[in-house]
Amino acid sequence: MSETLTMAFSPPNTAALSFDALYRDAAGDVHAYAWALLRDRAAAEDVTALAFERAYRRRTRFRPERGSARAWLFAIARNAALDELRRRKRTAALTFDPAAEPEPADQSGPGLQPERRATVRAALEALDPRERELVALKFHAGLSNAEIGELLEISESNAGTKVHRAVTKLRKACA
Amino acid sequence: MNRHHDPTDRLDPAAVADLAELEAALAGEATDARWAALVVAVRDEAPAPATGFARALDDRVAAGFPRARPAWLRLPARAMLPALAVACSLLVGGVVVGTGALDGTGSTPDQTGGDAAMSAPSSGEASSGASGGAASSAETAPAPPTAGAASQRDLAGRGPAPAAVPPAAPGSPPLGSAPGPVAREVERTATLGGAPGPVARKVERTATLGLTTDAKGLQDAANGLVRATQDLGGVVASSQVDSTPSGGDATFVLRIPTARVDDALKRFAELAGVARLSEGAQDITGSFVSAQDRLSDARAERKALLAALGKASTPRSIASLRARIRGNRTEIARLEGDLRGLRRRADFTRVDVSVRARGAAEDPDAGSAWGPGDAARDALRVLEVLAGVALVAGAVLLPLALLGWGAALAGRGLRRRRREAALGGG
Repeated sequence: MSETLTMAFSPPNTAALSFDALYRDAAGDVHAYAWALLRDRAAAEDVTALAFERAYRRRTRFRPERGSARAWLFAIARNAALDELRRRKRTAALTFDPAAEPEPADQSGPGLQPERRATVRAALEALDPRERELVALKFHAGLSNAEIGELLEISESNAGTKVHRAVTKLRKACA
Repeated sequence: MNRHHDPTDRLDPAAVADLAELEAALAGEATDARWAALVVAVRDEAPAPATGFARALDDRVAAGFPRARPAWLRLPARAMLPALAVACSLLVGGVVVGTGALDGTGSTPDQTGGDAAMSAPSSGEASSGASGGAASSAETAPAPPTAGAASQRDLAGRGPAPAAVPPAAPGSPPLGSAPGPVAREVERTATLGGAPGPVARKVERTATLGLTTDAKGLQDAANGLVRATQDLGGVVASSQVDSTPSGGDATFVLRIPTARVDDALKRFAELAGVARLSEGAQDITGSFVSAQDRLSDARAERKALLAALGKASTPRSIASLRARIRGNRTEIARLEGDLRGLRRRADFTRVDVSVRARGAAEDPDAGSAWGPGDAARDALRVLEVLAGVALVAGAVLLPLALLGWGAALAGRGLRRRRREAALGGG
């Protein structure tokens, strides 16, 4: 199943929870989201594993009427990531270590020029941690504004405003 | 952090358009190449999971995230043997102690029974001189030099048998088993304290009877007691009947011929339910013999005084003898009265009877068989008790539940704030 971890983003699954399908669908995205928050590969792996284990243990408590399985999973992953941040007493911004920069992404995909990659990385680093989380929830988790609002306990329009502000900032930095 | 929709919190049209473009790009349907490029760039920024990690996670998912066994379960069996041995020892010790305690508890009745059994001979000894139904050797056994041997017996026949009463047949009912233990007086020939001639043993008997009846049965029971007493040749020494709408009480002091006390108790028991019966016996033979002796002496003295009076010649001696004769007559009258009193005490048994009438509210089941109405009342009572228990439990648990709920909410909020603070900027 490891090859499924690199699957491209797929739309949220709103059907009744099928843990195996959820895992195949969202494992790579959860890892990317955790990495975006923690900026630490090992920690991201720990959080990913912990999030799926918690989701597995609590799978009977999932209620489809309260949101998609994907949003539910990312809520668990977010709590795990924030707990990890608290445990390590450092924020995402502080954890950035140039020596621990991520490996170059797979060049077989759409691929980016190294300069472009560096620009995007710098733009992401320039974002506020909360803005960076919003970008991760949007780009990696693929949550809708309503789901982000539900996750952050803010209104949908407020979530849209915050996402738009973060994305606009990112676009300007990447321009 | 208001999650509810705020009408004033609306996105401007440009932002709505940008977000629509972003959603399209995220879905792979971008119309603007810049949005598509941004999506690809951000997604490519995140590293792919390491192959080893992905494989390990696949395995854990496939295995259902098996839980690690607790450390103590991972101990080898040999290491757990001492702990098991200690646990078994404690268990065995607990069982032994518990069994011993149970034995101790269970032996109490036996011991009590033993005491009772041991007391029986004592009682028998006390009454051996008076028990006509005992062994033949007892027939000639001398009576106690002094009267006063007393005993008590309750409803169930516990306690020593009354003195001067032949032992009851084993298992005989406490009431109405004539001629049972209440064979009042046993005529025995014995030489008592040098008394001239054979003397009938005198035993004073007492009985206390508690009866219960329903509210309507009080008067009937009282009338029945009086009627039965009169039928048996007894007298009602005193009576007190207090009747109320919900019941009442009545007390009687009866004098029943001792020979018919068994019949009397049997008839009384038929009038109402027997709640309590206590019988006692006291040997008054000594007092009787003493009074009899003194009377004999007084009579002998009178005879001598009369003889002396016949021989007296001087007025002074005649007057003195007459005065002594008057005193002697008074003494004889007094002694005869004492003797009659003692004889009456032996011939009539004092029976104290109390009748308690319980009202319907106090005991709805009194005097009636258990029926559907009783079942309904019992069920209602059970429900009342359960409701009471639930109320008490609720009174205790509800505040605790509210406190727990509040604490859980507070803890959840605190945990959320701390998590949010981990992102920086509070």
